[in-house]
Amino acid sequence: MQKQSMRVIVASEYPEVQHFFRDVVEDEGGTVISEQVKNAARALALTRKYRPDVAIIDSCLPHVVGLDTVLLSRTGGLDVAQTISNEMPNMKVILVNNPETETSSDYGLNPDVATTLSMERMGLDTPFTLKELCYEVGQPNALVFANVQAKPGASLRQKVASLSGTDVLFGSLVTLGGLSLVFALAAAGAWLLLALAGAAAIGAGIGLLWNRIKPQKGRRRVS
Amino acid sequence: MVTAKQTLKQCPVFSALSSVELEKVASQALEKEYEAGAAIFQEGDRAEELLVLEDGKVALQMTLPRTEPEISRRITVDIVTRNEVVGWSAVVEPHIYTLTAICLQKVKVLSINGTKLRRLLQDNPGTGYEVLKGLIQVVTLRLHDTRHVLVSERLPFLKPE
Repeated sequence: MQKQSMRVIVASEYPEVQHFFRDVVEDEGGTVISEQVKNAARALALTRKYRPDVAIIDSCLPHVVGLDTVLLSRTGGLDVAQTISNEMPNMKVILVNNPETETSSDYGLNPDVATTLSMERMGLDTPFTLKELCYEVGQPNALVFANVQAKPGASLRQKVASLSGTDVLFGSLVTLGGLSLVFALAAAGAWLLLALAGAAAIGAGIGLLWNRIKPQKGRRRVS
Repeated sequence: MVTAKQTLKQCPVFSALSSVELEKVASQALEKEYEAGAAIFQEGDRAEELLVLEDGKVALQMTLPRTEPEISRRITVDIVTRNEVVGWSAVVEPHIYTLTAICLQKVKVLSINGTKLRRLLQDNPGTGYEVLKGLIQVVTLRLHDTRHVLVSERLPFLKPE
């Protein structure tokens, strides 16, 4: 008997956020069963009609109309998430905060930058998958408050920018130490030892920095 | 690290205060943190603190009369973001919170004890005037936004067919 894929409704006024939610679902083999859900009224109607396994809701969803200059017009996200959670306790409801800032910035659109959903656990932002959430034992009707977070495989530019002063200082000191050793051994005339020791020390310093900034495989971003 | 005084200076309600006045208010303030989904206060609770948001987003919800058993309905009527205040009822009588405050994400606030703040404002009328003036400006802006939203949501029903 074929295992049924996870059925998910995603709701956001912003196309780039809808794409991000769709990526999250499809990366886990799930199926988005709704298209263009842009407001809370439609999200609630479709959820009641199709009874999906998961509903992913943008916290900035308007009730009916979203006004560009008025933040107050986008207060529907929490309301529809709470309503769904109360009416359909077996459904997982994920209320996502800040997706429009994290998916539409340069940071989010960079193909080397992979973003993921995370939630606060024990005071720390912890990434999670929809499958983990669905099979989690505990409170089946709990509404999950989630954030969008960059995965560890961020772009080279972001990795370099994210290096702390301590990382740079330590890496530089080791590299300088290696260079000093090279010159010291050169002065002593031990050319072979010089080449090996210097190369090892320089390599250690560069390796320390490279380990922090080497590109890793990230999710394809859809613009 | 941002001090309490700097946070208050960035808040529209307290931004007009002098350095000395800010210092007096900041001395009553305490930093607190709430996790996502937590309720900072509930509608109907005694209003004991005024809060200034340092980081995060808070939804203010009004409880609707129950039309179905076991389902409590709340509607979000406002979203409060960084440098804005929550819990004006700590300053305004009858000092009962009229809304429930839910954290949409991890929130850091500066909590000012309501009783001590009211005493400070009473003992320093100039400070009291500036704070209430700032509060009125915030209320006016929110009323304007609320009216804007109400009109926009009703407009489709008034358009001729």
